[in-house]
Amino acid sequence: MAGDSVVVKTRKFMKNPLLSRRQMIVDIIHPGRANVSKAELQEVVGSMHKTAANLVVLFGFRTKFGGGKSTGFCVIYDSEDALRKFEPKHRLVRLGIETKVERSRKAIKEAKNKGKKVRGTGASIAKHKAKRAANAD
Amino acid sequence: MTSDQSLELLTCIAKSNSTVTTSLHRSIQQYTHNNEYNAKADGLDYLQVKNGIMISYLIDLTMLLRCKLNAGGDESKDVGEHCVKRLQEMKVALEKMRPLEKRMRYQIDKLLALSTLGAGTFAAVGQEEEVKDGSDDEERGEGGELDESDPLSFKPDLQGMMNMFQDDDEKQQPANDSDDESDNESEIEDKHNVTLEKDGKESGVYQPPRLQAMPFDNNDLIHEKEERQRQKQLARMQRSELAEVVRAQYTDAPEEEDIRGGAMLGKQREVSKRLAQREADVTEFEETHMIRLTMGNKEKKERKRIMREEMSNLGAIADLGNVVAGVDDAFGDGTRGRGRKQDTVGNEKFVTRGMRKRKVEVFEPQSSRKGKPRTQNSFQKDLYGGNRSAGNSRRKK
Repeated sequence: MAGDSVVVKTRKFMKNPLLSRRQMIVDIIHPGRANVSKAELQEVVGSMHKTAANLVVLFGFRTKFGGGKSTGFCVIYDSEDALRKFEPKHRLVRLGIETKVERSRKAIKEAKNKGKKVRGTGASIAKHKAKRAANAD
Repeated sequence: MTSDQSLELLTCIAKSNSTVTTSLHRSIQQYTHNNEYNAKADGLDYLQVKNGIMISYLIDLTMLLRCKLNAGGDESKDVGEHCVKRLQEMKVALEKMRPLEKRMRYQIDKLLALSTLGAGTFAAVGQEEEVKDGSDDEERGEGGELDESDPLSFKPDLQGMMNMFQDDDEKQQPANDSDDESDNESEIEDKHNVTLEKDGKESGVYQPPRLQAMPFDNNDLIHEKEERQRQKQLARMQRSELAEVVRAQYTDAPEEEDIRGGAMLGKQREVSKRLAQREADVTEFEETHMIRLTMGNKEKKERKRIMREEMSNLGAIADLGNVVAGVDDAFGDGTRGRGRKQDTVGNEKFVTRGMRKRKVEVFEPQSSRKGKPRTQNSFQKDLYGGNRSAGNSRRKK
């Protein structure tokens, strides 16, 4: 916990109106410190770009060899709805907005193998079965 | 005297020429004008036309040369002009014939081969011929057969194609019989199921349909591989530090030094340059696509190894690795390769494992080794000759 300050720089700024967000690369210089937590960074970057901290998503941080310098990616959404809509599930879980759904691996594999036997969506087969059942009655 | 005789001969030829041509003219006119000549039946063969045109082209050419040599008088000029006109006509005719010949080439070649090698060499048209040809082939032996990979021996297999269509027809017949509308869908389904089951029962492996035989030459693949390896080694030797130093001696360009004063030259520099390039590529990709890539285990290990070697400075002293590889292949024992064993060096047996020769304990009588020749590659054979060893030369003296 040295008294040195942390410098946060952004580069390669780009607007992405299709996903209603702004994306950039974040460089952090933190001599004497191990790492800066994402929560801290959210506030810092939010103040830098004049947005609320909860619309800022940070990911992919890697510290350079020797320490003191890290690089990562940052994405700032225009609204909470856009965030929920466009962010991938694992990052929403990290932010705490969604919770992880526990699904056993075995169940997933079984469902997938069952689906392999049906060609396409299986809508026409279902219709045919219903018709058969109706005819039998 | 021979000159008199030749003069006589030439005058004789000239006289007989005149008589023969006149009589020929008359007979040809009679033949054509009496409707004995039918263009369709008696017409010229394509090949005959070609040969005839070639010969008359040559004749006209010599005539033209003679006219040019004489060069005096109007007569020769006229004759020369007529010659040139005829030559032009013939040239155009030959050019028009060329594409025709190209299309017929396969058939002509086949007929030629048939005439020289006999009828049993080609894929049979019908089954009867197959039976006959089989017996003929046995009698004739190797001389009359075309090589299996020769493209001339392949013919489209019409019978096979017929079989393919027949199978389809058989499968479709039961479908055409049913006329009920209510059970239509179920029948279609059953038919589909039946066909699927049939295919499944025959074999689980997909086999592509065999429509035409194709020639396959395995030697090409081996040669290509060897060629590629040779090229790679050549390129590596050219890029090596030794070659660069020698090249630098003979160029007039000014010498270049890097910031470290040329301390880490050669292989090490190349490798680290390549690494740096790769790292730059990776970071570029990551930053444009905002995604982090992972490094595989192999890459990690290689990097560690290179870092370790970089710390030590042995490479700067003398790294002849690239050159040594080629030299060793030429002058070495020829035993470094995949699992090649060398018989003996002196009285002991060695096995090449990795980069080193390891001694192997073998309990065998020594006399057995004298019969086996030492393995040599072509370079060594040229240099040192056959299976000579130093001892033999002494014995002869």
